[in-house]
Amino acid sequence: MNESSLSELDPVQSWEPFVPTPERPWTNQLAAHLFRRAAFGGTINQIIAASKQGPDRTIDLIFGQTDDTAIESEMATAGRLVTGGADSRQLAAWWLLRMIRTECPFLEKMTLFWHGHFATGADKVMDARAMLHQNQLLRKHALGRFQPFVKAISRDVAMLIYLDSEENRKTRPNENYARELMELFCLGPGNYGERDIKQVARCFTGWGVQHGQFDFNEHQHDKLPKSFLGASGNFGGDEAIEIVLQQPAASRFIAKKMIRFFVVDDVEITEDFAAPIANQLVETGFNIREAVKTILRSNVFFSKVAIARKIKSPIELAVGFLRFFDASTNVTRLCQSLAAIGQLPLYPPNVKGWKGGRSWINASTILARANLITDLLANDKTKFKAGSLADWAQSFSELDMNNLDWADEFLLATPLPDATRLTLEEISNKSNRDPANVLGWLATLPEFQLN
Amino acid sequence: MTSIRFQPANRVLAVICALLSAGIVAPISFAQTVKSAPDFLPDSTVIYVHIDEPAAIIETIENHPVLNYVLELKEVQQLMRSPQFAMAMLGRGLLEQQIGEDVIESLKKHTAKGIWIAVDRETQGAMLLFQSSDEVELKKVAGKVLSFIAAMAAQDGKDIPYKKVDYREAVVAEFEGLMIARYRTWFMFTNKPKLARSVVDSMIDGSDNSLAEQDWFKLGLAQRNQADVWATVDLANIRKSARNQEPFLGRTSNPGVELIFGGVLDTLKNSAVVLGELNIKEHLEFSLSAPFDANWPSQSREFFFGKDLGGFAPKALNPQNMIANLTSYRDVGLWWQSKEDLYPENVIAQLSQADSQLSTIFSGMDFGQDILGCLKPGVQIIATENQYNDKHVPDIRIPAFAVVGTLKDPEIFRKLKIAFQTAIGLANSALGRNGQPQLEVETETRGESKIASAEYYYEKGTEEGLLLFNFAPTIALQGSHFILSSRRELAVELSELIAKNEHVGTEPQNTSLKIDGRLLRNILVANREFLVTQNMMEEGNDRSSAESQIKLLFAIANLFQDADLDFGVTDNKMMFEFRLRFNDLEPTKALTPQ
Repeated sequence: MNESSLSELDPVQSWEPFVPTPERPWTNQLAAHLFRRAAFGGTINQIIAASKQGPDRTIDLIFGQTDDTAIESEMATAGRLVTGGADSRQLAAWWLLRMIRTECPFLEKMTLFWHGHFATGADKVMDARAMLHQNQLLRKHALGRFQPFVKAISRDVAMLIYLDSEENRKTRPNENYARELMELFCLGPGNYGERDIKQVARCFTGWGVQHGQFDFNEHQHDKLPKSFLGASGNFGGDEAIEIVLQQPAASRFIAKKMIRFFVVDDVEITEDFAAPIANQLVETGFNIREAVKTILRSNVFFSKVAIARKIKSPIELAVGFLRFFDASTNVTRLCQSLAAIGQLPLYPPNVKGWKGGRSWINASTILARANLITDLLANDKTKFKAGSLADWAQSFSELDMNNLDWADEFLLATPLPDATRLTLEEISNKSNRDPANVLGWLATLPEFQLN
Repeated sequence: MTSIRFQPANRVLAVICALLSAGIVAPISFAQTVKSAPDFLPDSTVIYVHIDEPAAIIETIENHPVLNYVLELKEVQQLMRSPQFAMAMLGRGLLEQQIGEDVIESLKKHTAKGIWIAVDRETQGAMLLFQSSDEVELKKVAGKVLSFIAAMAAQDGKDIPYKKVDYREAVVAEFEGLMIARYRTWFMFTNKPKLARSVVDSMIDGSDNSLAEQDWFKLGLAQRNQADVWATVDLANIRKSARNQEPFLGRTSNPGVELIFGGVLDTLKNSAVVLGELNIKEHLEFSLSAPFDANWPSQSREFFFGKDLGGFAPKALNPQNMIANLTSYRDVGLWWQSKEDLYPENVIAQLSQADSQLSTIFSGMDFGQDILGCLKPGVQIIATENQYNDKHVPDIRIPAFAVVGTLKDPEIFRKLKIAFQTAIGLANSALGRNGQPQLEVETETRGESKIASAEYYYEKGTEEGLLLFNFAPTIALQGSHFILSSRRELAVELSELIAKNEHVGTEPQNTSLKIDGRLLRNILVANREFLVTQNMMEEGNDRSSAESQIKLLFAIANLFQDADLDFGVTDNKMMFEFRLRFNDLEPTKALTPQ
């Protein structure tokens, strides 16, 4: 599949599983692409192992990953500890630590995807424990079925606070949640009307928070019949969600969102192109795991349409960099750096989440993104498992670190132009082949920003 | 695991090498001078430190149980297996081969007549001098050390890192940013060649205007006691160099600093010298003193010293499981009233604004006049281990705190209780908005004590492990004593101690602080998981490294039995004394928390 725009593609063939051929073999670069998108990037050893295992086996392994109980228990305890006070920034740091340390980065990537989808800002919620519970909920449902997920998030305390559902009384239904349920969570704009919003809002009357927990106040619930999206009856919130998700637009909306997240986000995703994934969602009862699996093993995912066609989000940039080098760092400090370039976990800009795509890059963030990498390299709290960065470089005896083949093959989404590569290799020679210096320069390049 | 063991004479060096190899301490060089160093140091010397018998101190450290304990720590043993430590030990071995004797023994011999450290105002230089008992030996060793440095550089393919020059009769080697010089039995290190030349000139020609001739130095010397390390500082000249900046003007713009150290600023403004003494025996004792004149403090500092310097701290209360007790003479009401004389305009404005905001919280009572002003001079701040309701134990455990004062009129407790209830009401409003448990106020009378406490009301579904479970704000009145505490239990216990008149105390001081090392360590141990998590998040360590560092922290905390600090003034002297006592240490595995 050599086409580079969606209009030229056959949707059915696009979503069929990629099968390596002599003309389009399974390579380190393709394995690295898979790890970058499905997770936050793989280590060189993971990429080499994946290139030997082939795409199907690698994807099965990614989907089969689970954290061992020690890490799970350790992160659960740490999450509780950092939310004992009320500082959600500490929780953001905790989540970054989890993304860096987890043995199941695919699940964290999915959790991050749903955090952007069901965007909830800690600055308004002002309850770190509620944000932790929501984060756990996102992780729990990340690969499950969508309908129970939406029902659960609709009862989530942080979400209820964030979208003012606490004030949702039968005499004054609050329309915020009903609007976002349809516009941002399930259907997308143009698939409902103002009247539908008012009716759905009535379904959620009485849903609120009492003593820090979800509470249904029957006395504040509007028990009169409602009529929306072609259905009529005395519906409650759960029924409203079921009706919304029965709309044909729902599967298309979710399919497009997943395609934008995993495949490409700077072109319009047409209805036809998304149809196979949307259909699969309907046929499987909105099984998220199966839909994502289809996307990640598809022809289009391993084509030029997808490769190097996304810009790394700040979190992908930082966590991917650390995971590639098997490193860890001061995550509290990393939070500050991420906030400066526009993506602090738990602090989305608004209910729409992060816009993503080209919005990550502007004149100031491009410099700040490079500085973030330079800061990670210079920070004595950045610990490389192999010892120093130089030790890391030396641990790959089979790789020639004296040229930048390794970066093209494993680190970058697209190879460096020859002229750039020559310049960087000259810099490398002048700095006694100091890998930190070369990486610092690499981080300033457009190629480094691509995912 | 086999422990690496060192002969006593080598232990100090082993620790220094271990710390150096871990990058924990910056490399420093030891050297030393003779009894008459003040005769050679320039008159512009502003800091002077003298170690009379370095060999005795080295021996004390070598044989100290703390050293045994540190060397036996698993983490230090691991450090000793590191390549960096091996390199350091190899370097030491090569050096000893070169000079033909043990480095520590050589150090003792060539510092036999003393070590001095001086800081010179004119050259902005620092100098370390020592004096050997054997000129011929010193010459030989110095030569060999330089040869050794040259050989090491050659081995690494580098140039000799120093330039050897002769200055008059002294032998001088100039490194980048460092100069070493030997003249007869003297050996010196300095960062300023001009300072070294001046000292050598004085050694050869003598000097009529050396440090020894300076009045401030003579004043300091006259008050010298027997101490392992003795220091004196030319405060007048430092003050001149500071060019009328805080804190040498005798004031500060920081109200907190004024409240705690205000009286000390009078000394910094007026005294000619400050003296320091350090004794390293079984325990560590450190003191600072300075001449003092009862006329120095302005009237606005009466809050600090009391009238005619007659203010003494209240006798300490000693509740169970007390981690720390700070007892001090401070008239906080007078302090607030004196703010116009103590601070610049902008600070006064800020304090007035705070006063107004706090009045809202305290039910309209004026914070300065009604709250602080209702207290007699003298305040205690006490920290104890916290006690928890089994169901509601916080994940992060912090000590219980209490402030104890004395009311001028016990009847005002009723107004304070109203202010307390208002403050709790405001807190409840915020807690309720955030879905947090709210506080329920209870009042009770226990014997003669009146107590108003606010306990959290826990409902079904209340989150576990919250930080606020550490608190149950309480006020109490026992006689005329007023207690403000973070926990009811502590307030009750303090009330009972006051009722029984169970105070402890020694010689009256302006301020005293006592810290219990064992209980402080207990707090650390109780927060082990939090410390490990913080370490992983802040230090970038994996769990195993984080656990290892926290274990080392516990092991170090385990060294300390207790510490105390006294501060006081007489008609002619201001004195600050600090004592740190170590636990009876045995080599240690059992003491290292698992």
